[in-house]
Amino acid sequence: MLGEFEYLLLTAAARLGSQAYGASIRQEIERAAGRRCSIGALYTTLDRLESKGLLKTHMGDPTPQRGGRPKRMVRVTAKGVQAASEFYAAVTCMTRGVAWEARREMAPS
Amino acid sequence: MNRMEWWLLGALARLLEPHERGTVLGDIAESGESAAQALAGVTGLVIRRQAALWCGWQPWLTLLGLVVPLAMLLNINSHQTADGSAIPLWMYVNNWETSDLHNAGFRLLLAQNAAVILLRYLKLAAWSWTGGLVLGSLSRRTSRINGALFLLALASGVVLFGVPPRLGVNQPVFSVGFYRDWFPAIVQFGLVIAPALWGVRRGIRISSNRPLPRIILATWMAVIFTMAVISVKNWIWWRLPNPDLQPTLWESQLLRFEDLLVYLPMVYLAARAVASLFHGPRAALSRPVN
Repeated sequence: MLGEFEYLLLTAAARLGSQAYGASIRQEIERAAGRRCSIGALYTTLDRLESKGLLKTHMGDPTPQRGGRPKRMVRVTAKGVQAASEFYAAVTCMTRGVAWEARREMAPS
Repeated sequence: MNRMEWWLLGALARLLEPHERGTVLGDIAESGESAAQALAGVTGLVIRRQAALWCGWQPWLTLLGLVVPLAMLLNINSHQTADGSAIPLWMYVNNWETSDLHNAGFRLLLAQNAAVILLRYLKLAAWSWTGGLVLGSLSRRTSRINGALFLLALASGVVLFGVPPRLGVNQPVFSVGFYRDWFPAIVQFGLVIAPALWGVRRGIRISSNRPLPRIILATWMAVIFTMAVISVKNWIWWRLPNPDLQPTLWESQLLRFEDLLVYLPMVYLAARAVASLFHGPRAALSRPVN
């Protein structure tokens, strides 16, 4: 079973697709979760997920915006998709009928 | 961020693996974070990476089996060398009379004493350099932390071991502030810390190129450990006289033999340099690791 942050990271990487790399994933997590995402947490979680086979990383091309430094590109594997779906199913199943589900539905988006 | 902040960040990021360093600094440049946020982020990552490394047994073995005994051995030897050479130095410098030079016996004794002192200084500097080299070459990822701890232990040795023996006969020498306080510190910085730092830097370069073979590292660690144990015991004996702890003949024979083994990594490097001179760089004596 994935951890909360692992799920957020996998989801952000899946959403970003071919544009998923360290800085963009971090930005996506911060936007969705509304809290700061530290570089330390991001990179150690990336390593952990890669060692579990849930995602793959490779070095991308350097860009002038980054001072000529490369990006660590991220791609979610089939095993990662499976793990994220299971986590999502478990969370939605668990949440069904609980008070805060109704409150979330009523709240203006 | 200004240039100074980038320099600080770059220095901190040197504790990360080279491939990770580039991507992390790139992410920071792209996100436009403040210096404080960037420094906190990189510090957090460095701590996490080092913590993961120190979960294994190897860095602890290096720290307890090598860094601590080597630092103690060098600290004790540094103070013995400083105290030992302070006495003839005081004799010649503080009691100098040019007319003595007309005496052939005085000139011979001066030459002998100078040679003995210079050899002791050379030996101490060579030990320190070799120690730094071995430490730096052990593991690329932990060598900076171990190197920093080693240098810290050597620097603290000035304070911890800096009490010269208060022997009545040498009282005139150590009553002079320079020989009591400054001279041991000069020897410690010039012949121990500076060569050790140079050795650590050289060792880090070796570790990323062609590390020292494990058999040499294991032998060297065993030699240093036993020498440190004997030296600490003898150091205690000199401070707190106790017949049971008196250095034995067996120990002095062992120390004499181990004195030679300390230079094993230097001999290996020299042999490798000679081999590559005759057969090209590919004919080095060890295989590249990682």
